[in-house]
Amino acid sequence: MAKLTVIIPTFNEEAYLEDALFSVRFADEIIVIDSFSSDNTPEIAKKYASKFLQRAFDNFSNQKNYALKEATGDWVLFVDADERLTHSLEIEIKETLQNPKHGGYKINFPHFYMNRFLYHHSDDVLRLVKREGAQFSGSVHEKLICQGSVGKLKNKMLHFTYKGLENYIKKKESYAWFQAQQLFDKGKKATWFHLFFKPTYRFFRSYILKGGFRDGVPGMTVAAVNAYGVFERYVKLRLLWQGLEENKKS
Amino acid sequence: MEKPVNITGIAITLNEAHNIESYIKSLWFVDEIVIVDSFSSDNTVALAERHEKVTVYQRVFDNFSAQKNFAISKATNDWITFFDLDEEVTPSLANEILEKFKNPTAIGYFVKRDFYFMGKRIKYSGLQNDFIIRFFNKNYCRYNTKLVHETLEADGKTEKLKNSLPHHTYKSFDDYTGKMHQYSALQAQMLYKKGKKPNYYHFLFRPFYRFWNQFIFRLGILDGKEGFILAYVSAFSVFKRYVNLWLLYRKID
Repeated sequence: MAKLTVIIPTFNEEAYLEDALFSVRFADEIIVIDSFSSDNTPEIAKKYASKFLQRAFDNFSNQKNYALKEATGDWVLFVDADERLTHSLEIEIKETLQNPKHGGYKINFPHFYMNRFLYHHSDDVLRLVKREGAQFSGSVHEKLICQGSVGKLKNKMLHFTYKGLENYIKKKESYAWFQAQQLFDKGKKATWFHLFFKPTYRFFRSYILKGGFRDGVPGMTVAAVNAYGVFERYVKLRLLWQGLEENKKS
Repeated sequence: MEKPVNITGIAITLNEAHNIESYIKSLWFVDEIVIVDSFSSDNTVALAERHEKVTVYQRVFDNFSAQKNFAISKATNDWITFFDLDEEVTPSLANEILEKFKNPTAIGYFVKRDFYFMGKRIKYSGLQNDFIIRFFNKNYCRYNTKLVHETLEADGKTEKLKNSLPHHTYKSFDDYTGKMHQYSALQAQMLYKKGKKPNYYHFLFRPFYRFWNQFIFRLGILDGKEGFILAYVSAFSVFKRYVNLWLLYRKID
């Protein structure tokens, strides 16, 4: 049977890491690639991992590619510390690897938000790949590339992204600075269209078109906060043009 | 400049080292300043105590009303000014207060606050009529016990002063929205205590109405993009208030 390596990148994940490691303990090899955590992450990682690597962080692509070079399995699965494999996903992966039809498999991530999963707010992400020829590219939004066709697994990965409403909004707000700076560098300006229409459309798309209304109050909140993030992006772009504030997040 | 008179300037502070000097200087006309500090971690207290007429008390912050009423209780004069440290007491306003002190015709005086947002003076958006009592006789006035938007309750005749008060509450956009987030969390707690339950009317209609009210009815549109941004941010904080309330009932963070 094909051998499986699981790679987990970490930085100060003592609160989350152990459950993630436990959920992938069936793998033939576990590699934790750590960006020099200052908490208990290394101790926790060493309990489970076959290899514990440390490397100064520059970007996600380089970090994960570095670990990829150390992997010996035929297949590689990338998991973050705040993600957990369910038992049924584990079984599906084992079965799939006995007779793989593709060079890589996407896994579905429903958003975990306000203590529930939002099934109408989910992403498919390529995570399970044949090691041969696989690598990450792109420095900000890193992308995994594999050889051959790409399939999709049925079972879902649990992703505990929600760490409080304030935290969630703060993340959006700091991300808005980043995006505003990118638009500013391209010479884009914030017009009424951007300030008014874009956030409204984002809410409409997320809440109505994508069926967010079926996820109750959390679904509505995700839609509203995302729209608000779009709004802030253009407010901040305007501030940059006016020279009133500098991008504090760069 | 005339000699200071028997007025007590009261203030409540938390980490205001950058404002405290100019605040004390702008109150040249009072003979006593009482500052109630919620244990600042910067050198607000040290800077304030260097001035002879200033007395600093430190008190754990529970809410604005309690903190302000405590300050009033420590004042030795009957007449009190209360200013926030981001308000600019202009010389002409100071002179007007002095005149009223000599010939009082009321027991409390409202001042009109001018609001600046993203570098622009906001003239509409419902913020143009922000009148607030800033000079009063303590024998007739107390702060009520609301958690937020506490107001001074005056038992007697009140009047408006002519000079306005520049309010430099906006420091940066993140700072502004951060304050709005705090408010919406506090307001949610207030509603929770009252046993109010959020429903879809609150989630969908109330924020929309807030936006509409501020931007159209109160002519925020005449404040241009700043008016739009203000209305949007406050509509979002109305929404957030009810989400926070919803979370409180479900005991989710």
